[in-house]
Amino acid sequence: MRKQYITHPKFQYSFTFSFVLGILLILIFLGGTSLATLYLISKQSFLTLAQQQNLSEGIQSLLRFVLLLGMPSLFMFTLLGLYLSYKFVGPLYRLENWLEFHLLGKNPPPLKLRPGDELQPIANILAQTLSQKHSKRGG
Amino acid sequence: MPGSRFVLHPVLLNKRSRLIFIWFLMVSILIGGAIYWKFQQILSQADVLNDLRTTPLKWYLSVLLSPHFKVTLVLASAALAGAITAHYVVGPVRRIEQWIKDWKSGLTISELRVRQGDKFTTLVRILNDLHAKFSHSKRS
Repeated sequence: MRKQYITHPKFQYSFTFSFVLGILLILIFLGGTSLATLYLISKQSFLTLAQQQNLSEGIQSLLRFVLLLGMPSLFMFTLLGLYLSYKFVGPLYRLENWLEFHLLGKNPPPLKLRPGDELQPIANILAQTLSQKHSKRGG
Repeated sequence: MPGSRFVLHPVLLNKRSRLIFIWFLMVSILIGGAIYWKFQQILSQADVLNDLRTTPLKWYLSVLLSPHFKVTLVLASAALAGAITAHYVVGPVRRIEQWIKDWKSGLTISELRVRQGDKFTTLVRILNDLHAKFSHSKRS
């Protein structure tokens, strides 16, 4: 059976976008500074016309290089973001369903998350809090 | 800066945030190294390396060309990328966790509202409903 990685598109795309934003920032920071430096050097009066011409071509070549470098990085981090969002979405929806049961006044069995699942600390502390609140209410 | 605590605390304190920072740092080093290599190649092909070494440069060019600046830039961009990603991904979880801890320890807490928490709308609604339910039963 084929595994479906996009189960909650809105959540997962928003989560993945955060990762893509990070890698875009790195590219803009590092690429932009290098391009700006080359541009500033090309405007220096001590350079000959041929050197300035070569640097102008170099700027275009560096821009292409940054774009070429950016594509696999963006692709890699998009995949990483999607994978992590997939790891996040399962526990989140189990946690929400479990809490809905509590809200309806039912007493659901303890929430079990797989080892290494995201949101484990929240699930643990919620289980303790709810059991404390239930016992206070009962007593 | 008043808002810096909210941007930086998830990166410094959370295990997942530190991991995100390390990923970004590795990618930043790789991208920075590749761009620097290409940059030097362009300067060499344009035959300006020698001129840059021998001619007194304006202060901003000296800064931009210094290796210290390049290392700082790589570190800063990784830190910024990690902080922003953690702010969106880990920050809301940390804030929800803190709210539950406050609720558990019986501190007076207001309705849970999480900035950048659009991913957790349902969870936040249920937690607020649960909190209201237990508060009402306590009063009655």
